[in-house]
Amino acid sequence: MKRLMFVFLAMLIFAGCWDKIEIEDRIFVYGIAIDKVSNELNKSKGPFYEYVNENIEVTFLIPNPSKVVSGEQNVFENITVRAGSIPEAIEKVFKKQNRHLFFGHEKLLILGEAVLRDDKILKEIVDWIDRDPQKNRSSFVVATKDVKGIINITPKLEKLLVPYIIGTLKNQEEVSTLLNIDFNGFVSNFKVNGVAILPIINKVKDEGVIKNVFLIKDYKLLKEVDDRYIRGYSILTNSLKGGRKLFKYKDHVLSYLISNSHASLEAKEEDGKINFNVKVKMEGDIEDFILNEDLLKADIVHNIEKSIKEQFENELYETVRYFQDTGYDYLKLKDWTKKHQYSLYKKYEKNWDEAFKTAKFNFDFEVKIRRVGVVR
Amino acid sequence: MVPNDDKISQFQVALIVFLTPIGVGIFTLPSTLAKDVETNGWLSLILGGLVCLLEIYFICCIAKKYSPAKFTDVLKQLFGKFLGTIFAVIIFIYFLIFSALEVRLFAETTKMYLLYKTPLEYIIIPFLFLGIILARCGIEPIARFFEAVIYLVAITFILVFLLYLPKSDYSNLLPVLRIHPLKLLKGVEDSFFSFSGFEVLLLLFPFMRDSKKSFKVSAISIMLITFIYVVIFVQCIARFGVDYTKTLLYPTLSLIKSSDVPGAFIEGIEGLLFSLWIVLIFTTLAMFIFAYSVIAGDLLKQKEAKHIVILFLPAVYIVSLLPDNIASTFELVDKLIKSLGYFVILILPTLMFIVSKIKGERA
Amino acid sequence: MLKRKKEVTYTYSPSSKTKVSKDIEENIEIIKTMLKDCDDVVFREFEVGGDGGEKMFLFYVDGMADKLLLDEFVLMPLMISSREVAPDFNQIKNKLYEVTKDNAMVVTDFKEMDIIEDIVMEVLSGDTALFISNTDKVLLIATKAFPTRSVSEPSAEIVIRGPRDGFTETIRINTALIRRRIRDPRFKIKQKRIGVRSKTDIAIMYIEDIVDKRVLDQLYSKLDKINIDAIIDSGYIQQLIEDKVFSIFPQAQTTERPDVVAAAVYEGRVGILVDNSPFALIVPVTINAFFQSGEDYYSRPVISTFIRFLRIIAGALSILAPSLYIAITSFHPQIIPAKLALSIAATREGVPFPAFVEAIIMEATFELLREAGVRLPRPIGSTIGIVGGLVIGQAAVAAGIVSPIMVIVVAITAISSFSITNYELATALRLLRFIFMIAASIYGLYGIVLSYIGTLIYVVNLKSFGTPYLAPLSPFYITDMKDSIFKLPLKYLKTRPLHFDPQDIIRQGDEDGSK
Repeated sequence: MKRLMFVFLAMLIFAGCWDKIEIEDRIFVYGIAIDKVSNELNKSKGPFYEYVNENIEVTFLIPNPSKVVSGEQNVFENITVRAGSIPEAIEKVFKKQNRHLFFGHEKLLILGEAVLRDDKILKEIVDWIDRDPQKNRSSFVVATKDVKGIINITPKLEKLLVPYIIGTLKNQEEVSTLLNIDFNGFVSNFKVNGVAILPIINKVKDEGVIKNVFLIKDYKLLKEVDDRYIRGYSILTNSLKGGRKLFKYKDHVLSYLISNSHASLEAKEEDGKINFNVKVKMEGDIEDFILNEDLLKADIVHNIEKSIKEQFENELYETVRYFQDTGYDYLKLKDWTKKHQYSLYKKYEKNWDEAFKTAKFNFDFEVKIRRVGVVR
Repeated sequence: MVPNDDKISQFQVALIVFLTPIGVGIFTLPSTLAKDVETNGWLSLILGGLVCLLEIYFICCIAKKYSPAKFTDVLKQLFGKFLGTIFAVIIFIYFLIFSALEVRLFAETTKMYLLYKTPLEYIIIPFLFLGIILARCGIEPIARFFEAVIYLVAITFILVFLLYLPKSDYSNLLPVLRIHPLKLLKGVEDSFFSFSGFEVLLLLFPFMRDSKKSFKVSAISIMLITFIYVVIFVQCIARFGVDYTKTLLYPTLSLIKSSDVPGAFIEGIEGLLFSLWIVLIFTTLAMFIFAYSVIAGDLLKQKEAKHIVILFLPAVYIVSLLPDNIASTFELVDKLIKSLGYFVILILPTLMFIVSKIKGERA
Repeated sequence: MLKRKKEVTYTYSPSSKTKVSKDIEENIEIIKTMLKDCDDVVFREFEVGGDGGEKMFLFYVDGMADKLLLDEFVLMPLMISSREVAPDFNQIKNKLYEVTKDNAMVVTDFKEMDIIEDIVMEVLSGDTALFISNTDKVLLIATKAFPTRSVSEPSAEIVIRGPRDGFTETIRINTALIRRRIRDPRFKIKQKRIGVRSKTDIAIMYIEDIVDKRVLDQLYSKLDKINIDAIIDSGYIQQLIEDKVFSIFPQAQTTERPDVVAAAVYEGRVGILVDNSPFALIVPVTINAFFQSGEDYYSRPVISTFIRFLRIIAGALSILAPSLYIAITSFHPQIIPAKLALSIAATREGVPFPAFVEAIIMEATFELLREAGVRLPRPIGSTIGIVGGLVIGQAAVAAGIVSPIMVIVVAITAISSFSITNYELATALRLLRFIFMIAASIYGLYGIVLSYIGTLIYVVNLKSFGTPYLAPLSPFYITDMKDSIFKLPLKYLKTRPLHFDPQDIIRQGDEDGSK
């Protein structure tokens, strides 16, 4: 027994180390940017499939370790390959790089608009990430109209591009009209229902700016939604983490800093339509105030609260109407109804989209101003 | 000074019953449950745990009557020499095959999550060797090994709970109880078999220093397992939602993977947690190997179980490499659970209980 | 005076028992034959009672016996005082032996003996034998006064708070150090002589009504089986009484500190002292004891607990640090944060070796430095530390042979292995480290887990005198948790550690004095 063990150990020491790749032989892929460059699909002419298609362009965003440590600027190296699919692209990278691609630290997935328009490619990409246990499931997903532009941005304060974009996305806590989507959140809805919401980043001058979101339906791009509807969406889905609401008060535009928001829903059925009553409780501070009024007076605060409330309600009506027009329930109301009002859900399960379209909404905001700063 | 009599204490019994069922099964359990009972998996887990408690009650009743007789002797007493031997052989095969499949499933997941290129055989062989070395030592060192790893196991679970508890959307667990009872039954079946491993209790009685509290301690262990299973299921659902959980092969590992430890020295904790989990799988394997060696030792009238462990090592190894791929492995596990598993962990203890009652009344 | 030359044919064998003869000349002859060419033995023949008195003879080993004591309190009364005072010598001529024994010798400690071999043995351990003519008994005067090192602070186990005395090479002083701490008649010090030639004194110390008798029996039976020419150090005894001789784990605790031995004896364990060795052995031992220091009991409990945690982490680190480095850099870089991975990759870029070789080089260098530092004279030893730490580390990094991270890893391992209180265990863990490193280089994290499981299987099978090595963790003793990883205030340590199975469990009664 012991001798057998010994032989086995000796064997291992001389033959083992199958998975050993030294850390300096790895390429740490920080981000992957994928764009579709052509629609052509060449048929393979030979008796077996060859690499004939080059309809997508995959860019691996890779930091150069020695440059990172020595503190140089522009430490990102982009490896761009054209291929028919991502596995093919990886093969091609191996053909021109001596090191091994390593996806354990992948943090950002950038999808070009053209990719989003092609359901086959999009499905394939998402499945590729979902399937491989190596891939990082908490990486962010972002869409762009200009992949080339984005990957060539030189961030001003940050050394690396990917942390720059991720940091910007994480500012969701500061900006109410910004959404960030991580791969987990993206894939769970995308795989099951074929829908998703993706924030868009675009190059403006030499900065990446996040503006608007894409709606994806049936595994491909449906339309672009303006930033103005995002706050309402966040409030309704309880994903608002902070940010501001600018409101008009006596012809002045003032800012209300939201610190807390909670929406609670109720659904009722009224003449063949679902009636959603949404109650939103909101807390926040006043950030600027330019009138000569004493902000510590209760009735003035009350007035302001009232005007904020009205404007929020208008915003929400608008938002809901907008999403109703898209024809799909992006507001996750189906989910909510299933969870909380199962019988109603059962009744409308089959044609929920229709029911959502015709559903009526009532909003009731309860806006509180908790603090007003340190001046009166 | 601990007497050298190869007997175990009640605490050690509890540990064995606690650590043996937790193995690779929990990796896939949430997705099986999500498929069958959607959000009500927690309920079916609790019900499955209750069924399991009932079986343990049966086992303890039988043991109370016949201990400290050996398990095969009890079988022979209850069912006659011929039938008893056949039953013992079936249980032997059950333990042998399941130790092989446990190793196979473990190796597959390891290959997936830690070592992509290492050949399966080279993952299996050292693991099996260690399992056999431990199983050879006898029940008391096994029990002490279980005690020695329990601290690590506790750390693993605490890590899992602390990391994942606060960040999930628990409304995903709704709606509650909106399910057809027949479907729920299917879920209970799934859950019940995820407890498989507790049946080693059948064999433990001759080794106990004092078996009075054995029902109580094993019941506590089963409850703890139920709790852990429920927490993991709830976490998976809360994190991924039912529909997505269904599509995952190893939802538990995906759950572990999807964490990010804020501001920590460690980024991808899943590698570490999975490594800790290997210890849990190892306990299952060692116990199964020990179980089949005990039965084989009794059947072959061999006092030293030591050599029997090695005698069947090639069999375990070959069976573990039999399935072609992961899909056929799962299929095989499923088939065997539905046949052998049903018999060994559900029907047999019940049957033994009933027969022992009937015989008891006659006497 | 007539000198009869008597033919004595005598050859020494350790088992022979030669009776002391009434004829003093014969005795002298035997002894002189026996101790022929032993030039350190001094023979003194003299006569008592003036001219024509009776002959006496004493011999001792020069340097081991107290000459002053012999001169002033043995020879002086016998040769001079006996002539000056009554009774007259002639009156007592016939009962010379009794008078000498009872009236003349001004020493407290002597024995009567009548086997020559035994007498010689006692003399060789420092006593003085006095032969009196016409008597077949010999007076053995305790004159042991060989040069000893004075009690000084132990060099291997240093505490900040706690007693400063350490064992010396003299067993008598050592037993005294323990006895001073245990003034209990039930505290027994059983002495044995082991070693066919060396006849080394060994003291087995225990408290009669606490110690686990089975451990004691086992110890005696093992000691009785020892048949070796010499016991040079307690290390000999340790190796001879251990169950698993090839094990890297020490199955007996060694300590230089009498307070540690006394505390262990109070817990129901057995202390073993060996003459000529400043290290006492304590059996049985568990891994628990290796992570404790005497200081834990003298300082604040919360702080002691913290320090014990620290030691356990240090123990884990000293095994795991290099293997984790190998596993992470060569197999699973996703475990560490991206930025750290990048900087490791950058620093390793110029390194020509794989991480495993790099780690082996550095760990081996470190082991070499440590060994060199220990062996060298103290003033040079510290320079080795500087040369090793600064020059080699710095130069190796500059030359691109190893990465700076590796130097940090080695430093961490070194520091953690030094913070384990027991030197022997620290050495064992250092050896384990290499096994873990090899496993990690084959299988990465899986290899580490495999070697962890393997080590654990080995250790759970290890027993020190019947006590499982991992007690009280495995088997689990909940009451012993109070003084294992945790250290509760003394107030709550009411029972002795149960895993040593003491006969008397209660160590601290209630406040009202009852038990």
